[in-house]
Amino acid sequence: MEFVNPEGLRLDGRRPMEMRQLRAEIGVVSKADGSAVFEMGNTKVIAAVYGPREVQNRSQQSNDQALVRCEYSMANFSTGDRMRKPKGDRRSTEISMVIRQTMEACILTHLMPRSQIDIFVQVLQADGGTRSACINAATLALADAGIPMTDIVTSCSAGFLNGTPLLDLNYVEDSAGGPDVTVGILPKLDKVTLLQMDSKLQMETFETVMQLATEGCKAVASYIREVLLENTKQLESRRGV
Amino acid sequence: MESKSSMPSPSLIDQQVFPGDVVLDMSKITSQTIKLGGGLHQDGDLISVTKAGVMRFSKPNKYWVESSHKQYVPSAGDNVIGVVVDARYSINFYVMYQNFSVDIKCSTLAFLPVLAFEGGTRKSIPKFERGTLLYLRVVKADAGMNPELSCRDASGKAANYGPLKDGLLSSPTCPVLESLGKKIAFEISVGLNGRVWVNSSTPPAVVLVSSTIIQMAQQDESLLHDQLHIV
Amino acid sequence: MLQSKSFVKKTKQGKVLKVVREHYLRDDIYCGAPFCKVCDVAAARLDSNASTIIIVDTNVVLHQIDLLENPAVDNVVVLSIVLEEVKNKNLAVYNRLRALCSNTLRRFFVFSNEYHKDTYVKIEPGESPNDRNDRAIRVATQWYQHHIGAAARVLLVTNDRDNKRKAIEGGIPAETVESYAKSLGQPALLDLIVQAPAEDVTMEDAEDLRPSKRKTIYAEHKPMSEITSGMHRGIYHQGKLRVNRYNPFEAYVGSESIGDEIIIYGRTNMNRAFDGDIVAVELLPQDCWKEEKSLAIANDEDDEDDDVHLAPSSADDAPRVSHPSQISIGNKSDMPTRPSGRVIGIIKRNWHTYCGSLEPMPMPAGDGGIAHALFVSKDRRVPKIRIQTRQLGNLLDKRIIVAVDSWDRLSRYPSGHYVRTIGEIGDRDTESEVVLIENDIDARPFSSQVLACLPPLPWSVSAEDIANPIRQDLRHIRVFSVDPPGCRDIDDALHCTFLPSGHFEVGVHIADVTNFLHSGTPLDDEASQRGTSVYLVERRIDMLPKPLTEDICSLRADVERLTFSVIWEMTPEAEIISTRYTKAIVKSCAALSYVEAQARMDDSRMADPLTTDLRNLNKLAKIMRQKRIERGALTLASAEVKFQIDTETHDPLDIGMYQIREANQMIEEFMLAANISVAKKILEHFPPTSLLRRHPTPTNDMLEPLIQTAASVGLSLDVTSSKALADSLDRAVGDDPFFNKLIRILATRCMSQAVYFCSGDLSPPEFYHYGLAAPVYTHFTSPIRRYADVIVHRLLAASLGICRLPDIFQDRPRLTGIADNLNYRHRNAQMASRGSVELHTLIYFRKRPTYTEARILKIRANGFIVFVPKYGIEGPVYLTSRGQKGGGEWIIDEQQQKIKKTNGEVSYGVLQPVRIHMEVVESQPNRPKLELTLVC
Repeated sequence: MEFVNPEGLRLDGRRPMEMRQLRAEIGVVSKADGSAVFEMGNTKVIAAVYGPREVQNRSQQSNDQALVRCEYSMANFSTGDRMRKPKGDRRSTEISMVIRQTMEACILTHLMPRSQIDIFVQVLQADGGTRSACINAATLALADAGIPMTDIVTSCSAGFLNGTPLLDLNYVEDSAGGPDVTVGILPKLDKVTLLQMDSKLQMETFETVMQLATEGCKAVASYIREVLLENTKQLESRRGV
Repeated sequence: MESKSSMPSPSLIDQQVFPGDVVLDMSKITSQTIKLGGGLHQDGDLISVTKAGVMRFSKPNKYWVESSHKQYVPSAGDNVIGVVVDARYSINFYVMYQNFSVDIKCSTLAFLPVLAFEGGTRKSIPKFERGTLLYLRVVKADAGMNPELSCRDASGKAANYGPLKDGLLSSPTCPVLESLGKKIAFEISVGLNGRVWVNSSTPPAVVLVSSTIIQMAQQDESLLHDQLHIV
Repeated sequence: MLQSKSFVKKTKQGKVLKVVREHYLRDDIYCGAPFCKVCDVAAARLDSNASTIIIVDTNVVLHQIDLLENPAVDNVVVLSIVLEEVKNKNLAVYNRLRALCSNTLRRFFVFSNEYHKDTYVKIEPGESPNDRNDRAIRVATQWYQHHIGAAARVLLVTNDRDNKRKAIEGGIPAETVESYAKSLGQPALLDLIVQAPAEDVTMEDAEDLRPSKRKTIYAEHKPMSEITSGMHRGIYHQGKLRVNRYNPFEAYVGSESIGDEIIIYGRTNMNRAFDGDIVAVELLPQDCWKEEKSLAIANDEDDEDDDVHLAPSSADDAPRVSHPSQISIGNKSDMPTRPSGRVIGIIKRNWHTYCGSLEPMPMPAGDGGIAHALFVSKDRRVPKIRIQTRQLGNLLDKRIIVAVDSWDRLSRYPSGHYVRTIGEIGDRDTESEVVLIENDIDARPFSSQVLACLPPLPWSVSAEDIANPIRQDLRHIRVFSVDPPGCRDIDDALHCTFLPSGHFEVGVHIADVTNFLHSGTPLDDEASQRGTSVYLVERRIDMLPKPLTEDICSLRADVERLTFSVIWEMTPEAEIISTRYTKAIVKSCAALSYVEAQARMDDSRMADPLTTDLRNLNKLAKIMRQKRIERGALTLASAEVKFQIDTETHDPLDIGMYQIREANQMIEEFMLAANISVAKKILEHFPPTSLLRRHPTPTNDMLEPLIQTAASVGLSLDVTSSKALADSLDRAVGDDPFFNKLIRILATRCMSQAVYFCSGDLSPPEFYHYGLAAPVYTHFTSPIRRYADVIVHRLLAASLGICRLPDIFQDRPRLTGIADNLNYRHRNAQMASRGSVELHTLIYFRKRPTYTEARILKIRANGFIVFVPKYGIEGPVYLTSRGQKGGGEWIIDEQQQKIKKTNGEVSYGVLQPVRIHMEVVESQPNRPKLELTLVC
């Protein structure tokens, strides 16, 4: 199948190096300590953060750092064919773990010993790149909750189809079975916290694809900064300062 | 967290900062001791931000990031409003139950020793139910320990601490209680942990006062004054 | 960059599924006109002083692609919506259009109107997708009109009346294809125009010259919805229609739903389907299933008959004759077993262009006017095609190419249009080109981009090559090559050294083509497209440019050449002790021909080292061959012929069967061994992405003709395994020496051909190569003339860690695609070679009527089919003249496969020799054919 036509346009009209439209909103769940909705095109993810709070299961309590837990789920209505998905299947367990590890890397857990932080991520609408969107939503929710972090984590995926590196694959491109590299970075520190790839890729190609994904992460980071800035401004004015 | 330093770059003061931003490099500055508040983190020589918010500076040497978060960080001497979570106690056998567990909206439950009341003796331990509201003082707040509360002031008097009966608990912040008080008589306890308790003579009055406070907290500054007139 | 969003919602049938896709509209899509002031002109493709810019609609592209391909038409804007529609409707036309758009000589520009913020149109409620697309085309045209302004005229070319009317109403200049073509002022262009299919033309408009013919000839095709529901219910069956190459009135549809082939007899039942079409078939009631025998040699209303042709070399080439039910074992019922059916609808057309000539006809009065003519394709599977032409006089004695446009129910023949002329009929060059075109072989010279990839000439082994640690220096070893005489592209050489340990070191050195042919270069793309060199009688069409083929890669004598070598250590009993693969440098000491090598080995007086090596190798090869045969490998035979060509006129001087010597077998043995070793190695390293070659085990059905023929001469063959078959073939010794070979030839043609495949697509048991009795096999030894070997070289190099694996090996579907293309090209190359041999046979016998001996292969109702071993040809001998029933003076027993003369004097059976007379006759002008007659 042709994913990039000779005119250099992808199936949805993007060029290979372009991302989908980003949109984010902070504070969407009033009950939670921090929450956010993050959209990458048609992929829509909601994240809620509770904590730091009392550790529920005492045996898991750690005396020198906070316990970070993450639960990923996909809404039944998130895909075209409405299916009841069993909770805790392999895929969501895996993604939960990926998000937890990625977020743990940036949270200053040692500042909050003997407490736990819960991150709930739910995919409301899936159109490829859910992993990245989840991480971005979780970052925003954590920032909203005021949980100390060394840096924000941002994530973006890139693939390689028709001999062209493509940024931010959507569902159609993702299901083509080509390589799909998901990268999560700490943009300020320029460190990689997440790197996953399906299928195989030549080393040289891999580097260009990863470079592209990293660029994507940086673009996401600057958007997230903007959103946080807007949010901080609003809070300031609310406070009446 | 204290270290020697001179002034940070003044440009950052009162500016918005984000997690990961480096605000100070201590290898480049000498002299002076600085104090770091919440939202700042020392990593080697670098001081970086850990929360999104506004950088604040207070003379001579205090820095912190003012941010919004829905959690309270307890500090000794704060007056807070707490909810009793666990009212069981036993003095004789189990060490665990020498305290009431109180939720004061911080990351861990706070302990209220059963004897921390005015003239508290074994015989005068008050009976609380789960969910009882208390106006309390934070006595100890050390990292790595549950905060300790008390219902006595420094001199051991009850002052205004103690259970809050009836009324409605809400959690806004509002600078206009005074003007409100001119119109309606009500009783209010404001805890530093972001909780406000209101009580008045009739339930409608309670609802009116608390909803006014909540509404205002959500309005913009400019609208605030107009609203006051209406009330 | 502006990214606005809108949603395109689709509902797929079957499972109702709402699909939401993003659709970004952009403001950075440019108009492609170099004189445009607003747009970025870097990618502009249109002429800088174009007076008219043409925008075509989908149907114009679909039907008039031949016109668009004519250089007279230029400055065309192709809208992305048009491309998309064309792609969905006809992939072949789409590829041609894409080729036009990327051709730098042509001025075709693709405008992505669907993604442009001003030209994107949303479907309106109640609007059909077609109307919406038409509107999109008009909106885009209008946008061009406003955008270009006075700089050029924008013209919408459409044959859709409604569209044209709406365009003109909207102030857009629009014309039909015809009026546009007329405005170009080249009458020849009008021949290229496809006449509107009858469905679109109302009956009043269709002026028909022969009203008597205006009756319904074919049944109506069922609508698609009915076909789909019929297939769900199991009353219709879908499959690809394959017309019998030897009898165009008989076709087969392989249906998965039945698990058997459905036979379709006659054009009426075929109902306008062409070979290769995907059709829906309905089974006929069982009492209509015809008996095989009644088919005999085709005789329908058209006077078509069997041609003399080259003997087929595998089941893929052979006419599909099936067994009469009486003989087939275990079939007790009298009912014929093979279901027959009729086509009720065509799901996908496989129309393309066809080579052939016009049926001779008198020139119509009034020269220069439009004439209707019937076109007869060279490919007998294709029916005659009716075309309109204004240049009849010109075309009558020419080979021309014609495309099919439509076939309505009222006409016996499909209608088409003339595309181009190849040359004079009967001219050798023309006919050769026809062979090439028919087999889709690209014989064009290599493009300059391709040639730019070649190393500078004269090339010689450089110091770097010698210093390269991955390259072993084997120049001191006595390496030699053995090839057919006159071979210029020598891609293999051998050496054989006696080791002190008493073992032999045997090396197979293969030209290191991948050292020059790098993945991803234009040269590589071209080679991968061509897939193989094609050997015709008088010329060779190379896969790689000549400098590589004949010089740089060719392992000629006394020059240093780079190789990729497989080196074994073998015991004198030909046990392989160790295998080593390396890139190397060799210097061949002799390029022998098979004859020379054989002579050296046979001449006991010669004892030079080279001859000793040859003899050692031959000894080893014989042992290896014996082992292979013990494993169950088949010794097959084919009737290959060899021409002697006049160097001046290129006419064939002599013709004869190719003689196979021991030396040939010796070389073959080592090549097989190298291929097997390499196949094992690459499969071990790259289990999912190796390119291997397999030979499917023939089914009993396929071997049935062989068993029957053998049975009729009292021979029983055991076909349970390749070993059993090999043994029974060995035992099949008749009373004359040629008998065994004949049986082997027959066995060979029952089997299908070996094919390339990607190892990830099949399970290991399917990797088996039946003919060689090898669990894995690949092609490694001829990288100069086969692209498969190039791929295998790359795989082997990567498995040794010499170089990295090119990207395509990551992409299994692409590798499968390459394997499919290689199979297609390989097969076409063989067909072309056969075509070329057939052509030269005809030329040879044109002046030489000959008496010769032939063997009867099969007896039919009105004659028999003979095989002429000397010339490797096969054809019918008619005992009765056409139309006459019965055998005349002959009694033909088709079931017993016996012929007797009425007076009982002479009788013939299958495989018996007969004497025949061969002569070229021209029963129709310009249609020479070889005729075989029995000599008593």
